[in-house]
Amino acid sequence: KQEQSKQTTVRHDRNVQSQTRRVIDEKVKEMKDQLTRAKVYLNFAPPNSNSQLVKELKLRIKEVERAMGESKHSNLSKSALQRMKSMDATLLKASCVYTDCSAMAGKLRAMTYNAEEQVRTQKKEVTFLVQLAGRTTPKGLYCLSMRLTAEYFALQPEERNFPNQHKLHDPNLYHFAVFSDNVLACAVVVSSTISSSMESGRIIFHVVTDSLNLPAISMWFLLNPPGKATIQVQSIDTFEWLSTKYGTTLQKQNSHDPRYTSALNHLRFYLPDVFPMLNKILLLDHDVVVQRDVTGLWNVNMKGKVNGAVETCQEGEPSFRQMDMFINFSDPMVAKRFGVKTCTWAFGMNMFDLHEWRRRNLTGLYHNYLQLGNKRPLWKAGSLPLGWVTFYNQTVALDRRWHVLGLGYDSGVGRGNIERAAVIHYDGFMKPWLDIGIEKYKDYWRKHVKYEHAYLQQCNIHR
Amino acid sequence: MKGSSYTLPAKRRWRGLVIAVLGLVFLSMLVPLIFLLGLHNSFHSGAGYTTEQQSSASNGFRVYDQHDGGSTRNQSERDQSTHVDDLIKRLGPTLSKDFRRNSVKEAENKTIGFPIPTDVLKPHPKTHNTRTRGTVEVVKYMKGDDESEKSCEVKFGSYCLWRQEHREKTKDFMVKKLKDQLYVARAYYPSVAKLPAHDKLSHELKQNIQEFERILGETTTDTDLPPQIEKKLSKMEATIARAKSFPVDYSNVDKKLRQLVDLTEDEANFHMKQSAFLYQLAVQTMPKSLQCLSMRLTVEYFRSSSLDLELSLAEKYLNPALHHYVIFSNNVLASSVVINSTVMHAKESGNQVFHVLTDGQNYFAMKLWFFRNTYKEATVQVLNIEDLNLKDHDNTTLLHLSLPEEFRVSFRGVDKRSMIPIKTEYISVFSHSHYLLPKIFRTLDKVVVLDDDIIVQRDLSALWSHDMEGKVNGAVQFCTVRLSQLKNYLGENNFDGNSCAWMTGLNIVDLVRWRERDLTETFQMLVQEQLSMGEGLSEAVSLRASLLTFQGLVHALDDAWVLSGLGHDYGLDIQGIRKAAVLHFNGNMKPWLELGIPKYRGYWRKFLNPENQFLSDCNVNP
Repeated sequence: KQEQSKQTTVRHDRNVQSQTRRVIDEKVKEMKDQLTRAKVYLNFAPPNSNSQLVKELKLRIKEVERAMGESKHSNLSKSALQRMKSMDATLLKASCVYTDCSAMAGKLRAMTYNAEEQVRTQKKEVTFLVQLAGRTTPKGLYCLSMRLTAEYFALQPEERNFPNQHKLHDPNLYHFAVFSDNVLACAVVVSSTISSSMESGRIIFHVVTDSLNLPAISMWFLLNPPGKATIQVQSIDTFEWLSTKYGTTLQKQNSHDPRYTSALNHLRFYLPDVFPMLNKILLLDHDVVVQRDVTGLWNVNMKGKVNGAVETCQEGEPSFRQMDMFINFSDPMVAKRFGVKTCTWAFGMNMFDLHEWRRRNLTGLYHNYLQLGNKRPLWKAGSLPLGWVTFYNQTVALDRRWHVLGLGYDSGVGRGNIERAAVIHYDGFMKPWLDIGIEKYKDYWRKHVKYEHAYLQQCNIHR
Repeated sequence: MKGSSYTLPAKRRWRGLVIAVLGLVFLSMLVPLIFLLGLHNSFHSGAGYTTEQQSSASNGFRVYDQHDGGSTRNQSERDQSTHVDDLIKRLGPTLSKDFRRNSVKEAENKTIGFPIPTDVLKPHPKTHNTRTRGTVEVVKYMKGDDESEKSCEVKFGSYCLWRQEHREKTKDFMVKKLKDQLYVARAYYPSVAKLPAHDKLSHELKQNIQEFERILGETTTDTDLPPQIEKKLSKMEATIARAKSFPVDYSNVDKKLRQLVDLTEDEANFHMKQSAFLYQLAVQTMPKSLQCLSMRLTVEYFRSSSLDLELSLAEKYLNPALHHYVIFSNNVLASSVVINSTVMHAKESGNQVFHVLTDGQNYFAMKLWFFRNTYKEATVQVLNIEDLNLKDHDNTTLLHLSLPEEFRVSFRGVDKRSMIPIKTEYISVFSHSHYLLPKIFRTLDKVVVLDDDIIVQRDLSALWSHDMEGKVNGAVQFCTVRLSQLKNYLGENNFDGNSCAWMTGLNIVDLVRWRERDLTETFQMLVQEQLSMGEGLSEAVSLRASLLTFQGLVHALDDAWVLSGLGHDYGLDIQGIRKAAVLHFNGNMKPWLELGIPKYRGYWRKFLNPENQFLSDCNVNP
């Protein structure tokens, strides 16, 4: 009972607090308005005027500004109210001197214009800088990779092997694939999956990275084995079949955007070749967190289709995508083959039926489209438009609760939606491991990061 | 003398009140000046700025919170706003936490701002008579901007220099005119609509407003405007003129307009904080291409069977008769550029020995790079500072690499007759690692220390015969800052207030005299002294200790040796750049970053080999 009364008091206090806050906010708004008016009047005065009124206005501005600053963290002081009063008096005086209404409008317009201009240029700046931030690596993450790499090479070759490798090709187990060059992101995908799974002993993780990151990522999982689950780390650079069978090396395109340059990003179209012994695999992007047991996906009826994905064609939602946003429908071949209204879907969490994929030779189809796209501008860069055309008519919709998108660019994703979702996806620039990540979503990711690990501590990676 | 500083645009008139030129530095939101001043509690509630008149001698800074949006802001914007606030808060304390945890370990180029009064260096003729005549004050749109630009620089440092350069002027005058008219019409409409006798006029006004809204909704550039736009404009003008002729209750019009000003200013403020934060982030993080390079080199190092060097080199490392250059660096490209530019301009490179001191993280990459690349006849040694086995060094504490520390200083001139433009400077001083020099290079008598953000454009051999007049440290002086201006940082110690601050970048160090005077001991004592006072001034510690340690022991090198500012000053003279023996990219905009100042990057880039396989594999293309 005491507890209850305590709670009531707390609630009451909070009410009072928020009420005072509101009063202060009101006052602050009033003060701002006073300042604007005072500044306009100052604008009317002839240059270098030192009249009594000008002096007074300047003094009042200073006073009110100070009062405004103080009222931010403390309660409104009496003197603040006093200052507002004096300001009011001065403004009244000024309004008697300067009465020209349309001139006033002009001044105010000029002030607004200045601010508008600033907003315009700053928005441009922000866009540029956010993209720039996407092309940089936090120092802590870099440090972590470097330390792990050095550690890996200090191991004897026989110490570099993972246990349970006989399970890797068993088609009766739950196989997950992650393609990534980011050790921390990989670690979160794996550990979040394991911690939310009911039967981790039947889970096999296939991490594919490049030769640069293989040592660091392997070392991480050697130091932090994923419970009962099995893990495999491979390098894309050892996939010789890429050049022998397809005559391609997935060479990097000359673009600054990492999403387009990464060969790992395009490896998804070769899944049947990466895993020749498997029939089904769940492909996860490295910017996801798994929050529920997802083995239920293996029981979803794929209706003979190849790709199980959540759809992104609900108009009005932030995730809304339409075919013609990335695909050029003015091309007759495109217009003939695809419907512009066809529902779009997302990568991030995809169930692939590799058996059906092989039967329909979709990798071959992908290759044809890739080559066509190299000859003329059919679609934008990146794997998504190519995915849409490759898996056209081969995609089955999954319930949206399986996979919630937008945590990397949209600050309006509902909390309920996020917490109900089996997989949440930080698609967009604002990855949770970057400083520009959206703060309120970071905790869902952070809780799977081993901050207490010695290497993270050494590299100054903190919560 | 009194000084004052402003942060809000419309305070431009205040300058009339001020007599002195006063430089004040503020914290930029990420640069924890506040920690210097021990005001971290206030910092948690947001980015602070000062608006107070302040006596130059006292430390009486007041910190106010940035004012954020009113309740009229819609929800999503509010979310965003809190988001940015979060970012700022988080980064501030995070940095500081790390500083405190291992102030010695800091291996980054920290840029720290601190306030200095500049009244000493620019004695102002106190002529109070206003000589400004004929300054016509019209509502110039960019005028207010000008002022806020200056306060921006005080607050955010080189971010504001960067954005000034990136600003593009509006070309779309017609669109601007339309917006203006729409604005005025909207302001008048409610009052006119209240006059029942003028139904027709209010209808007309409404139609015009809707039409303009439609047009502006469809286009934002002049070229996209529909034909006959001029006609529409004059129609609108006529209607407004009629509306103006009625006696309307102006207070409503006025109020609406003020709200608009307020909202837009809030928005501008919000975006300013956001982009300043992003900028700071961009100059502090590492480009992916450089990370790739470092990883590639490291992996390659371990794959290569042996990198054994000839034993004869070891002899060279220790030979005091040769010219020894020391570079502290964690950036393989940067140190390579320094060495390359030095040997390219050297009359004789066979007697040059470069010692690159780095940390465990970068050691293997550096090792491989300097093994695979040759620099004419010069010798390069890579040392991992964490692995050094120094005698009489307390081996329980790990050695950490610390790069020269950079401090941002802003000078702000406010003067009655002319605005002296604000000046942002970056000074850099020796950090903890530099004080290991006499121990690391026991056999050597003299070294030249080069920062990794310089390039060399002349033969440096003259430095070796340079008469140091018995001093220990030959450095370029930075007389814009005199020690007396730093007395808040230097404390009660005895020092000559008139002596200038000095810069790292290019330093001749006489190790013999250093050992004789046991300067390392002095430095460590000063650091200990400061730490034991426990004032949490972690960053100022090395600044203070370095300046005091070399008190009276600095030999001033001729200014022609080094031109600094290529990391922050867009306005350097090209002739001056060509002539300088050494270019110093001090400041935030390092040449290897995408934010580096484009016109200076060429001077740096030409010392990279574009054919290098590692560079092209990693898309390194600074």
